[in-house]
Amino acid sequence: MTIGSMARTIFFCLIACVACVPLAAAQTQTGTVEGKVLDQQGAVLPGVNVTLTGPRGTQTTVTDAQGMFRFVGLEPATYALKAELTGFLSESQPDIVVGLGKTVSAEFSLKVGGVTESVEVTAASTVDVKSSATHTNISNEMLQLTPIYSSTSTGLLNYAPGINNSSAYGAQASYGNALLMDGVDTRDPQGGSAWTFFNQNLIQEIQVGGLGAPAEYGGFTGAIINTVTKSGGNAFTGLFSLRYTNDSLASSNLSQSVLTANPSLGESAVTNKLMDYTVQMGGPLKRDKAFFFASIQRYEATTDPTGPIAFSQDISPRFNTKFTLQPSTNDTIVLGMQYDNYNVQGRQGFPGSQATDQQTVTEDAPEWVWNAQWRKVIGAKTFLEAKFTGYTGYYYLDPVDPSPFTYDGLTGEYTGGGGGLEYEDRSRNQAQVAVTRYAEAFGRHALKFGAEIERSHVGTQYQPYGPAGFYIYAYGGVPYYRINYGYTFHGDNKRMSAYAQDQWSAGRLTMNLGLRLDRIRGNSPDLNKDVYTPNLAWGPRIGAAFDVTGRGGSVIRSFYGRYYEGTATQFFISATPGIQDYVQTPLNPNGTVAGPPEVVTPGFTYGMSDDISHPRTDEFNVAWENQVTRTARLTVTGIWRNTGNFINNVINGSQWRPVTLTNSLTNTTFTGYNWANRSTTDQNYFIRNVEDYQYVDTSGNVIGTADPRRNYKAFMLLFDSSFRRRIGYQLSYVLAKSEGNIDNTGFGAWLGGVQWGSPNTALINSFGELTNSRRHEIKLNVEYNIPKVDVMLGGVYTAESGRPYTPFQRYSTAQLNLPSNSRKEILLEPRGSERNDFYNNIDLRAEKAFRVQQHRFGVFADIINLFNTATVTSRQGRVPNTTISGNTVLYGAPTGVQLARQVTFGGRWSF
Amino acid sequence: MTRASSLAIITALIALPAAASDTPTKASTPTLKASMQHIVARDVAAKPAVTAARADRQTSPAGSSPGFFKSGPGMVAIAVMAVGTGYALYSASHDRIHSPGKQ
Repeated sequence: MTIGSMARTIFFCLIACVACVPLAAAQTQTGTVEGKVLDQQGAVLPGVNVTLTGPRGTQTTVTDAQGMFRFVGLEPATYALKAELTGFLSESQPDIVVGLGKTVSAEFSLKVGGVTESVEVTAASTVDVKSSATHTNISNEMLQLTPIYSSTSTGLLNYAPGINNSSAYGAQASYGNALLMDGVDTRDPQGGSAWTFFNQNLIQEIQVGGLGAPAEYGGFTGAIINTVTKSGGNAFTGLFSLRYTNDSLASSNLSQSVLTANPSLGESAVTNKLMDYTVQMGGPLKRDKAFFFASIQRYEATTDPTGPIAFSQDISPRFNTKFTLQPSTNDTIVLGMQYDNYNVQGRQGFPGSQATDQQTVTEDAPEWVWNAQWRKVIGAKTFLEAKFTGYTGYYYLDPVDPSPFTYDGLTGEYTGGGGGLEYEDRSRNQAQVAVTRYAEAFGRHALKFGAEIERSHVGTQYQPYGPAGFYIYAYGGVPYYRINYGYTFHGDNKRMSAYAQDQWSAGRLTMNLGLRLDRIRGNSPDLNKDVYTPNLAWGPRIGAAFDVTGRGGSVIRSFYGRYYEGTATQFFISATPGIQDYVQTPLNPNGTVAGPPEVVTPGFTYGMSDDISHPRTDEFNVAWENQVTRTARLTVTGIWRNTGNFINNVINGSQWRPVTLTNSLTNTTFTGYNWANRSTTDQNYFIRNVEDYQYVDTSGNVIGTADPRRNYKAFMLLFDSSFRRRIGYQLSYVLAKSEGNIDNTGFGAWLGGVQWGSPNTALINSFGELTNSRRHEIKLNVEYNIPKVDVMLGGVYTAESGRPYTPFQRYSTAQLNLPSNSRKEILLEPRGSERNDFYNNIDLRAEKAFRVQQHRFGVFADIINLFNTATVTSRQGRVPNTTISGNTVLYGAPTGVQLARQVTFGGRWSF
Repeated sequence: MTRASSLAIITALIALPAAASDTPTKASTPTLKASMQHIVARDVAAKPAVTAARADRQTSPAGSSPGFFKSGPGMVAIAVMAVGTGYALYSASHDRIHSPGKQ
């Protein structure tokens, strides 16, 4: 038996065990309250009635022989806890805030007295002294009281410390993050970006995790964004809100010097109209038993985008419902559904920034998202959770003008129709089951076992030149060629995962041990076979948590773990058939075909290594979390991460001839490489882990070896307090550095990019500081209620180092003999040698509330970029210049500026 | 078909508030456990006030009273819900862009 087959056997045995043993849940959507009841002398009290009261009724349990009690499967909310025993004063703890995946510890010390008397004591500590994970929460208060808004979780996660431009803790931006909504993985199965949109008013809480994540979490190398939506309870609740803005409420912040350097910035996007409303209600269908929640949103935004396009409109009606059923005190069933359609006119088409209104496309993009969960408490020690989640949807882009466009090589102008045609179909289904079992042996254990199955599908039809499939190349107004190109891909992701973890507490020390296995396959329906067959992904997790005082409230944590990237067809899509031939046919001046095609570049599929490992990140962190006041905590975390198993394509058998190139920035020369045997190896593209790939010259001598790396280290300080007594806040400072030679921006850097195809982009100046490396980052979110006048102020302040950038130069085909422009761009200085300006921004919300009994009416104004500052956020990196919207823009000129001040008004009624 | 079924489901769901219970469910045959739960729940809710009020704060006692939907605010809430839902449904149909690729 080979090691591989043995591993598969063990893997399937684990799956079988999990399936057979009735045991808790992956990617927790709930929290736990547990604790101990003592008398005044410190002796444990068995047989004490402990009652937990929350939004959906009460639960009662009795303390065991050790005086312990536990409530599991609690949805994030505020609860009240009460302990009662005949002969003792009953004792209650209100304001038990249960967070996502948190274990709240509560301790009672009952005094002798009459049963009808009661005392109230301070609530339990909010510090989880058993977990090795460090989380940041984006609370409902923060979402409702500060001027932040986004229709995707990737837009919201940037408010968390250590995350910028969707790059979490130095990882791949956006694509490295697990985006979970009520347990549904909402990522695009092709590249991993956010696929489904949501209504921000739906959110109960967002937990941003990924540091010290236990084995139940997988499919990420950045952060886990675990979003829980609202549910109905025993009380009727409602929210009716409206936001509105227009172009007269926008300011300009561009100076003349910026406009001179880059005139295209003067055509910045303007929101002509935004109208966004939500109506939602929740409540009981049958008290304590069945609850409903329904939310409807209509979002309409009309903009004048950057560039020649004058009109773009997005209208999205969105419908959400959720039923929560509690047929017994031990069973909870959740059924959720979302339907929305996303209708866009005026989306930018194929000519990119030069597209006119006529060259735009329309977008038809409906989607269904579903979520079914069953949670069952079995006896006193077992908790089962099963889920079936998923979504299906598509976006189809059709050109407004389906006629072929003409590109004039002399003027660089695009005329006619175009816009391109793109049809993208997606679906994702996931089944998960998990069991938590509490046990005692050499301490106390919270064992958890789980299994997950995922099937996701991608269908892509792309005709960049529109429905006709071609465009006309002209020169000086005279047609020369007809050029055809396009592709059609299909791919399926198949994943099976299993994990086992234990939270083992002995005294003040808790060990968090776990192991996760992911078996990932990429299937081509067209070939009817798996084309991407990476090795089993083993992810160990080893953490420790030490309760410093022994009374909760202060914990020291350490953790080592290995995380693997999620599934994505982008890893293997080039190894499936579907690329059409590139055909260049000569034309007569009158546009008729002059003869047979002069150039035919056959479409071909890339090769794929059969010994490939899925991309992974190793993490080590240490943290200290300390409760400072009843509601405030201080967390200090040190983080080290390094990423490996990078997958990309190389050109097998390619040979490179040294050529002397000139660096136009310094006027010095350096050695570049010309693809010497292109004619015989131009279809040898091969997908593999690029580590150790050797680039050779025409004599077979090694020029250099690929050594892809991405490292991250950070010191993170967080001081936060949930909203109580008129104020809530979250202040963070992060000192960090991301460096390596695989950037952490778009997926091209690790999936379909061209960097490792030639020694020019793989070896020359490639190592340095990455684009999303912010050395210093301060984020402050504050919510404050001014007494007497009942005005709520919510502010978000961000101060951070600018992003690094690097000068590069594009060399000619004659010099390098390489296809596509991006392969011909060589860095002129070590990566990240330059840096954009330090960034400061303040957004503010002011809301006046009126209260009638328990009804709250609020009118608010959001001011984005309060002081209308104009920090340059990005600069042109190409030397000596490039063309943007027909303007020549020099190296170093601004290409992006902080958003100008925009005021949005709103109102809402809640109860 | 998909549109029809989606509209049917959505329309059905709008009626949820109307179908919601206004009064607590009549208790089933009491058991010892149920009686204890009831007593504890009553104590938590009735006493002290501070405990119950805080625990219920986020659940908004305003909407927890029997006959909520027969009250003025309840009826206004239903009306606003209906108008908002109706316009969103209209928009889902009227503003919908249909790709030729799906026809």
